[in-house]
Amino acid sequence: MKHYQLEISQFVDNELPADELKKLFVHLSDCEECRGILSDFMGMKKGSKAFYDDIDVDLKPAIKLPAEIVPRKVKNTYKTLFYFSAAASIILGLLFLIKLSNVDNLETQYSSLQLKYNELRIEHSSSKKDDIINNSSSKNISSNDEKVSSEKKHHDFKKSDYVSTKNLSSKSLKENYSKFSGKSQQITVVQVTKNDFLTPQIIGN
Amino acid sequence: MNKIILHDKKENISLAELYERYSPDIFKYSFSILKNNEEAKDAVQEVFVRYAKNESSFKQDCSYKTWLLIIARNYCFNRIKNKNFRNEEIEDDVFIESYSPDYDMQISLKDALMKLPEEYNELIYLKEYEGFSYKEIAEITNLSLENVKIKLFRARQELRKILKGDN
Repeated sequence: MKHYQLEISQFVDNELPADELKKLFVHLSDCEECRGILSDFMGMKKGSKAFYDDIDVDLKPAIKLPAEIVPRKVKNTYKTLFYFSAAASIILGLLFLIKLSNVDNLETQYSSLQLKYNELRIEHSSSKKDDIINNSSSKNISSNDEKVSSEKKHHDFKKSDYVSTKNLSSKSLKENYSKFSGKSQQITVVQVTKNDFLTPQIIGN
Repeated sequence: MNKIILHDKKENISLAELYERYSPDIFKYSFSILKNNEEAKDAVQEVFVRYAKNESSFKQDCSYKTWLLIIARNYCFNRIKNKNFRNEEIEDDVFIESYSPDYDMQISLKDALMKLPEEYNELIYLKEYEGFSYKEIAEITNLSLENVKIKLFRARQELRKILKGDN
């Protein structure tokens, strides 16, 4: 026969569902053992309550406790956090925009410089062709030193990534290249690397 | 003196009033776990000190009493875990003289309860004395409803065994 000890415990606690209550009563009418358990549990309930009821001690607080009530300040932790994160995101957004505009400027400068560089290269190559034609026709230029120097300078020019046009007009550059094609000793090549094309360095004599 | 700030949406209770209202229950609950008069008294002081210190963490999603009982429970079980803590003999002055053992079971119930493991004893206290529901007990003890139901049943079985001398 199945006993209902757990259900009895629940019944003592007034926590037994109504549908199980009926089953328990039916069982209790037939089971003496469960009736005994119910009786014991009820006795223990009464006894335990009496035990704790009877405990009486003098409990004085160790310190004097404040009797006044002060309304608690509402903590604005979440509000503060929200404003802080909003401000941070605005700052970050601004920084990103500034960075983006800088990149655009640099790209514009870079592309304009590239265009000028190509122009100059074309001019340079055309002037060199003219030189060769002139030289071959006149047969006056036979000095190997000059050729080597010219090639060397040309090579230097090729090595340079960009030519600064910030402080030099195309006219002055033209003059420089005409000088370069004529007199290798007085060539002035403006050589600017990729990293410092905004601050041109004049090398050579 | 630092003002202890207390606030409730429903009612405002000063710490002094809170102490007066709930310290006996905190003591009894602590006693059910620690089974020692002096230790239980210390627990009461400690509970209110902790409450005052951590008042801001009280979210008011439960009653003051429940919150204090949770603090008491944490304190008591930590105290038991402490290696230095040793169970001393129960002092009889805990019980007032008017304690009337007219019911046979009551005579030995004191000893039986003290023999009961603390986790069972606290459940007996919360149910029989405080009259909390399973749900409230689950909230305080951090157990599931099913677990509360089963453990209370086991506590009663264990107590019954002790009373009958089977243990």
